[in-house]
Amino acid sequence: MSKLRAPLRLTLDDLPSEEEIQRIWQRVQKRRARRRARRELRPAVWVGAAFAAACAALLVLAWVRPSPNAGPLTTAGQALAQVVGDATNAGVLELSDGSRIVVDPGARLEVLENSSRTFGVALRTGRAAFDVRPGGPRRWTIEAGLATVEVVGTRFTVARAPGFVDVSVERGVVVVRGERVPDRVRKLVAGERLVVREPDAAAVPEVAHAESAQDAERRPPAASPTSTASASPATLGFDELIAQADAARRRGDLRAAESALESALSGAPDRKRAALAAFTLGKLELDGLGNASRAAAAFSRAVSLGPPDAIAEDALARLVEAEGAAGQIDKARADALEYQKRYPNGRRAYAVGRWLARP
Amino acid sequence: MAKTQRLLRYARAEPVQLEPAAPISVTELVDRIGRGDRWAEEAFYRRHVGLVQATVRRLLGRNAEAEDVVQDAFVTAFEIWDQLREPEHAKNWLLTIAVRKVHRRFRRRRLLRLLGLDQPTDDATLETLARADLSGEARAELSLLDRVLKSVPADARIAWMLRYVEGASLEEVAALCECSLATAKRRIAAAHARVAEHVSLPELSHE
Repeated sequence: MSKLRAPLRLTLDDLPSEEEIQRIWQRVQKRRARRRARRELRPAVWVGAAFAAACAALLVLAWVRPSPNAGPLTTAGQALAQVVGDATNAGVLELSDGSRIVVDPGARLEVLENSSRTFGVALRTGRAAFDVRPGGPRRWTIEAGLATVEVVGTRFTVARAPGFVDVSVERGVVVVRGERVPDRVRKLVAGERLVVREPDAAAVPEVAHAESAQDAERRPPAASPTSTASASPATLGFDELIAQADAARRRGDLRAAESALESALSGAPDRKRAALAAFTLGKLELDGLGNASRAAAAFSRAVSLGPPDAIAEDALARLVEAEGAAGQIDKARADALEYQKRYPNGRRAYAVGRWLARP
Repeated sequence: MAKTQRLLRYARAEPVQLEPAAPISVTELVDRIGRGDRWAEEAFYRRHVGLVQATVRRLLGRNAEAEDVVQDAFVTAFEIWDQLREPEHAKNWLLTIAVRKVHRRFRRRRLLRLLGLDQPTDDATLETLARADLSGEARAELSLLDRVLKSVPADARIAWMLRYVEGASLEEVAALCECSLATAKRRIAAAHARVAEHVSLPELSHE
């Protein structure tokens, strides 16, 4: 039989001592004081918490709410077409961030990337003017073959033709990158212009002060195959004529190329550029049209004009070749001697030396 | 001179007999506490702390936790004093608050145990609280009872202890556990079935 009987408390002896009673009472008092203090602080805490919550909510809203600049750029609420450009009409793109692109007739612009961070296009041919809204979140990149133009907010024009890219800055700053750009990168500020050419078009890219904005607007679309035929050479600048000649040559219209180069030669703004045009004309006459005497005349003019160092040796060597082909043997020998004198270890020493070895 | 005479008069005076104050009624105590009387608060505390402390300690089996729960119960009671509707039942109302906090402690223990953070320090078992003159056999039975009760779910354990250790009526158990009478009976019966497997404690009426 169990020794225990209910209620079991009668078998226990666990009443608190006076010391324990006092200790508990003191702690009760302390806890009450602490809770009272907390209650008095509570309104301030609530106000603070409400303020913090409001700030957090605003942050979340700012994060979540799509800003006008978020997402890809659109035009008139529509998604951008992948390819922009028309053979006959100029196209104007008013973009959702306030930026504007004017694509000349015949120019072709392809959208490569369109996001909230980046807007990348490729200018395949022709000319396009970009007016990029400053302070926007996107980094704009215009790929133009020989050069890549990077910009945040500015107004500039890019013209592209085979072997030729022309960047003119009207406002702000752009960065032009490319293998043919001096030191591979060049910063252009307002009023500056950079022309980048392929090696056979011109060895040295040039930077010059750009035309005024008004001039640029008035200027007909350059380097566009469709615009080349209709444009009067008299109204085109040197670079455009060179570009036009290249375009004509590439599509096999050698006479048009010859005409453009002759115009460029006659209207060249300086001797170096005239020498470039003459050299290019000589190559066209000799290699394309098979007219050795005209080629010799062109190369001779190039040499006499003092071509850039990069093509000076070639110009003299090709002059010897053209004179030889044209039957001007004496001239060829004389110029071959001159070549040997100037370039004793020249790249074309062997080819030039053959004319000296002939009886 | 006058000062000396006054001191002599005090010295010759008979000691004052202090009559113990008549016990103040619960209703008056409750009323005075409601009006912010600090003395009444302490009087109420001293009147009930023994019962509350002993009950909570026996239910929890841990001294430190029991003291914490007792403090918390009195703090809560004074905070929600205006919710006391029947002043004559102030003691049971206070015990209900304490038992509610004991339930909460058991839930917390279970969570800590699940997380592996509960460190059992049962230093107030029935055996350790036994009267000094209790026989060895009775102590052994209390020890066995302690072990059995550990395996009983908290709700049933509390209900059983209120009935078999504290001697509360079924209605009081139901009120203290804030459950229906049927639930209280079911809990007590469940716990007692477990207890009866090990300790032959005479069963109290479950009706």
